[in-house]
Amino acid sequence: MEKGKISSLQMAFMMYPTIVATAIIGVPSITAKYAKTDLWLSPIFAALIGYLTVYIAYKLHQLYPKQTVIQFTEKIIGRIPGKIFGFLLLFFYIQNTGLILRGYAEFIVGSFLVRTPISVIMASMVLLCAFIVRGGIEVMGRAAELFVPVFIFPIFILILLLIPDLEFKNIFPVLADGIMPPIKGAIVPGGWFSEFFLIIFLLPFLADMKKGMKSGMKSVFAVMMTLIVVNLTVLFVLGSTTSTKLYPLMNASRYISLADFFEHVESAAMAVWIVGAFVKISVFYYASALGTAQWLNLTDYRPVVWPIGILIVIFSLWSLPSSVDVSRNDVNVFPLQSILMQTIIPLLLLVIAVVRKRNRKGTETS
Amino acid sequence: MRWGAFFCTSVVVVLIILYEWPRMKQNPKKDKMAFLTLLLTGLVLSMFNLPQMSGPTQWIETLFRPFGEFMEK
Repeated sequence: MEKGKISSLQMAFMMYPTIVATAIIGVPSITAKYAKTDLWLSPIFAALIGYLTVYIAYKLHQLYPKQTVIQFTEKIIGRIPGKIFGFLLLFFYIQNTGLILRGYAEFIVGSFLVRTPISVIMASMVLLCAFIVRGGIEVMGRAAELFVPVFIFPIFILILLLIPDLEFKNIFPVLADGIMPPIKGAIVPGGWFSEFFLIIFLLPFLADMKKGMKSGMKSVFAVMMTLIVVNLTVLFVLGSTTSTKLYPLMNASRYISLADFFEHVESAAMAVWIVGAFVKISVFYYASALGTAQWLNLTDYRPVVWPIGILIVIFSLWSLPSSVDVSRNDVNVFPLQSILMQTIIPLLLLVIAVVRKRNRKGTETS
Repeated sequence: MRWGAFFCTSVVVVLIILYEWPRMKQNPKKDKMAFLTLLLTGLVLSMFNLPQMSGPTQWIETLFRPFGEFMEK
């Protein structure tokens, strides 16, 4: 079905914006709501879910190499339950691609292109992503390799330019209410870290499979460091008002004013952030399209790419009248749904698969 | 019923069929069926007033209400 091969570094490059692109834009303020001034500790706890998810995905991949999750669940828990789980997972991915697309479009419409209809922004993004998904995994890998430096470098510059505005005393008091607030604040980023389960759709196409786990773990570490740095920057600039902002990093970047020349850099930050969102949406889109084709036992995933694009746009609008509903979904539904579908159920699958394999070995020796 | 959205989606669907159909000549019948069924699903759904309609996203929210209440505290 997919004949392309990518390197493990390309996989890490694809996964990094898949988590970071939306996590740096809205998550710091959600974390701040629960963790107050300790919001920089939350990514550390949340990253534990990321490490666990990568470990589970890699172990499942080792048991069933050359197959994605849609194919091997049927072997682990039987045909009918496997199909049901596959359907739920695909539904989760298509629905959440819609939600990510909506979040992206709300951000663009709310902050910059105020008078553009939201459907135009969503449709143009889906069009672009559909072309790259049709191109196959190799094209996506190379695009990620090209775009991720373009994405990381400006964030780095942004933080450097913010140095004159940093108020380091904002970090105090550290752990004033004990360890629980940062842990509760870690639930929402934990849902984002759970998205690392998407590597299970990429691992079968790695040219160097042995390095898969290592580069996945490196990617989790890079995401964790980025989130800590971003949360600290936001905290140092905005202080206790962080939780009241919708897009805190964007607000922080508006503070930049250097030598009366470097001003209004937030528009550059947006342009860069679109690159990240593009990689993110295309990875989700690819997983949905490939998964659907495997679930229906098709010979190729390319015919379903365009129809799924339409479904993604439909899911980005369905029962979400305003941007308030989108952000409420991100807090009240997404973290549990994401951790359940991408960490807890795969963990159960892994346990069942290991037990079954051990039993089979037991009967063979006796 | 939103005719504007439905009309736009119909145009998009026709464009997709025109673009994709010649490329999947050799593919088995099952691929073509899946392609057309998914397109039809999208077309039918685009007829409704989606943002105000209750759908899967809302059902899942109802299902996860205890978690939502925990997060609101």
